[in-house]
Amino acid sequence: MISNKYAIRPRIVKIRELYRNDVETPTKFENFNHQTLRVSRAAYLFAEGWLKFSQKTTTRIRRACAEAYVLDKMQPIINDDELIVGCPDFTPLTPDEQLLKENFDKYGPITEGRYDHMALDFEKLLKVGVNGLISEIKKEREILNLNVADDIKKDEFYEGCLIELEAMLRFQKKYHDLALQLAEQAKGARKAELERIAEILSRVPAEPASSFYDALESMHMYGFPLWGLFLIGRPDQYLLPYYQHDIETGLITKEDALELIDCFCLHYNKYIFPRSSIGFMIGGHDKDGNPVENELTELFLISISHTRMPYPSIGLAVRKDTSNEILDIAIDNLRKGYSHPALFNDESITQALLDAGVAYQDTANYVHSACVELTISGKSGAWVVSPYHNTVQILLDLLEEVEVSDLDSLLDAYARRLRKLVVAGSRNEDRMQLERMRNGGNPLRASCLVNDCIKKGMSIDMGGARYNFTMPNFLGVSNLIDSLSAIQTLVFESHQITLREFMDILRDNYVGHEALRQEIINKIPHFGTNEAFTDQLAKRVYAMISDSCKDIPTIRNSKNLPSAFSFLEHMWHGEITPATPDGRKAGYPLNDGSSPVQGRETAGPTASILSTTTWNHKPFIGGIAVNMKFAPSAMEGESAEKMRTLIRTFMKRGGHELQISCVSRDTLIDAQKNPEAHRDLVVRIGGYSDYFTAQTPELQQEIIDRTEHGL
Amino acid sequence: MDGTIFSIQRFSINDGPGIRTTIFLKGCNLSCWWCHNPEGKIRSPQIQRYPEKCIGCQHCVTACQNKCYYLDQGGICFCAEHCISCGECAKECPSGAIVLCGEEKTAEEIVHLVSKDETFYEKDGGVTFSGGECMLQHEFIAETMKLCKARNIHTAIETAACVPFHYFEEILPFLDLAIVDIKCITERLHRQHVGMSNQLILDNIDLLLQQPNLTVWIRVPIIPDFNMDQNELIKIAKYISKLQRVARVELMRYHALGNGKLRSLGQDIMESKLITDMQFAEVIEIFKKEGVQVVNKAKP
Repeated sequence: MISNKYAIRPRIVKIRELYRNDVETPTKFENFNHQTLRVSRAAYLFAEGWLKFSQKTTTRIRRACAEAYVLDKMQPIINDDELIVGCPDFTPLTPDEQLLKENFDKYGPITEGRYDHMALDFEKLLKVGVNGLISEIKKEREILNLNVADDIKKDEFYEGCLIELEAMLRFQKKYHDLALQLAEQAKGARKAELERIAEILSRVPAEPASSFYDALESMHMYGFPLWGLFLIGRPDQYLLPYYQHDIETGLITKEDALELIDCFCLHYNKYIFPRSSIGFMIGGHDKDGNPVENELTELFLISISHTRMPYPSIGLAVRKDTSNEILDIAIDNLRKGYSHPALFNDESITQALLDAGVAYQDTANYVHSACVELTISGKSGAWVVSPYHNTVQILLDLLEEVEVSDLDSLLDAYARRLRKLVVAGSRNEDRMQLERMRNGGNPLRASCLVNDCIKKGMSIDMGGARYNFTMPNFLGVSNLIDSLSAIQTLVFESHQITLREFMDILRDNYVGHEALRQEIINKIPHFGTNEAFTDQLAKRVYAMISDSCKDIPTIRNSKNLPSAFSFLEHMWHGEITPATPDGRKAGYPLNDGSSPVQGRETAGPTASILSTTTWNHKPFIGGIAVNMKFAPSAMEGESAEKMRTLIRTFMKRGGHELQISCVSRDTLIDAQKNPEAHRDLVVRIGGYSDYFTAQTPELQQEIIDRTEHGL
Repeated sequence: MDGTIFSIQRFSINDGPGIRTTIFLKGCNLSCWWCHNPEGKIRSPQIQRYPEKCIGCQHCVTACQNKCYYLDQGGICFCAEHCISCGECAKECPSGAIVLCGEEKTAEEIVHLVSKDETFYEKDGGVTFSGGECMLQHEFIAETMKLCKARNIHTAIETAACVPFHYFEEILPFLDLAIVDIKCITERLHRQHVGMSNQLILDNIDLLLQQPNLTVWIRVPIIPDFNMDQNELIKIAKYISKLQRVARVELMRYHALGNGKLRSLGQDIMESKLITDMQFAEVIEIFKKEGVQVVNKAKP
């Protein structure tokens, strides 16, 4: 259909297969930590470099030397068919190397806290090149006065930056030489391609980019060996001049540009391990407030249907004037089950950022910093999801201690406790940041592309970024709202049970009280069904959360900006959370992000949207995520129009982020086995509607078979 | 005045244009064997039971005055003989294993519910009255529609149209769209499968098409062993092609999704008759040949 306007070139199919079969997958995702974000060979080389440069006088310089060492020792790899080159070395570690890496993980320098999660100023890289950065730093360094304590610190920062950037130039040369060498051996079309690649690598990223191809190669060459979640920000804004120039001069066609974009995007899946998140944002508005919607916006969206991989996770900033055509491409991707783009509300987010003190022209560059955390590209020191607060666990702890007989008193006690925990959490993050301020953490060449680090002579870790945010995250808020609703209904209103009895039942995980649990699930108001009581409660609870984050001084003078989304943490935290008053059994996942509790949206998507947009999203710059699932048939043909209305209404009501996914065959199979979590799955046909779980097993099977067919 | 409702569906996307709220009214005067809303056939409330949701709490056993529920070999059994559909069991059932189907609602209650989604309706969307045969409750619909129109909400009905035309006349001032079924043309066939003649229906369609401010859509259910026969389909297509002002024709492909509902009502389930994509494409082709552009609906 829409996305088929531009055919997938055979090269893309081949590269996709190559990458899919060759991605380093951690065997156990449970062991996830931010160190494993680094490709293991890079991590090993870093350890080796760290040991080699033990004579360095400061940790940060020693880190910079180790970073440079990785770049110097990393084998260059160029795969067949690639147009954009630069690939991590996946050769498995030898047992000795593995041992050294593990020891380093144990005894090496501390880097607590959230690694990366920020967009760099690639626009600047394309304009000045690595050489431009080097000369800017050298100039700053020349005017330092080393009799001043502050300048001694700056000097150290600049020296570290130069060590890494100069290594970057050597890294580029290695790739250039390899491309040249491969070109000599190659024949025909591939020979010409490799010669072109070598020519490009003779210039970028050292020099400014002069074409669209240059630009993508430069960004990738600088970006991928950071081995982390460093995003590229708003490519449909800053890449547009390069694209337009090349199209106008006949250097490339639109299809060529798309092929390059496909090549570029596929790479993410090579160096970011599965079940993480990295991407960029398109659409929205520019520095002058004009809407951004151009051929690149379209091509990046179409690319999703070409690459069909987990990354990049693209965000589309949707405005009132976003065209139906662009929304339709987005919906078409989602219908096909590609799960991108996520939809962001440009108008409301812009206002929210202004409220948080961001300058208007910088609002053009907000980006979801991996998941949905909103930060300004190239100007932010992000400290996301730090820490996680399990809001329904806080309620359970509170209920063990307080005696209350009405909802207001309970909420007051909750607010006091929450504030204490949020402040304590922020202090703990301060400690981690303090460690990083002293000893570093992020590669310094990331700081080279974050304003105003070079000007201030301070790294991101030291607080050199224009905007520093600390973003505590609040999990299980919908469980909390539903739990309060259950307590209000059963304890405070009908006096069916006492609070103590309720707590005993929860401790027993509802054993022997299934009827009560079913009553809670089926007969009390839940968040997500557009009932006045729970919607009002949601307003109060979310306001309480954002109030709890206000006016907490932090070490980097950053604001605490709340978030309410979840990556996989709702599952991990769910595993260790006992039974909760909303009928959730012990160990079951918490609600996902800011969505209603699983299986509780029984009044359909419109009611769900009215509920999820009933509270004020604006203070939640840390990111919120409302997830909605639809059958593919609800998103095709005429129904796609209705999906647009749904999206636009969500935005009109101030909803910040909407993630639409397609009910997959797996979801339906899960619904057969686990109907409670899918009570809201509706089969819709003209003049007919019923819940999927109410169907006979044979018909469920028939629907499952058709769904697969439909996909 | 109250209406008897068996279901309300928000975010209806297949019952008229835009995003709609569909009100399903209980009671029907036809007896189509393929009906996918069997709980809409009779007007009076009915008990629907979903044994797989039963947790064995026995609240129903205590709640029922007529002793319809009893324990046998540790399980709960139901005997419909003395059931008066009072709904006491459904009220006490915590798990949704017993549901009372059929609720009395006032026009104001319906309008309140419909207006909740006003922000989603935009130009096209609105409210659809379906069923059952919604037109059997024409007075209630007229009252409700009048209130909807006062809020500028688009109104539609889905009807088999086998009712006296003066029923329609009551609601016409407030009605924007009528979606009417043509099930078959051959009268004998209609009597045999639907239980009534189709003459009244075809006459009503003519009259509805003459209303200047009313949009009319025709729906044709495609049912194996009934109208899915080339001759009959050609007749239907020819008939529709001669009608003036039909804004849209939708084909509703047979499905057996009424079976879950039949089972819950304690009734025999129908045999699932598959229509392959190829067969359905042929059906569409027949309509095309007669110059009737159709919209393919009902793909769950």
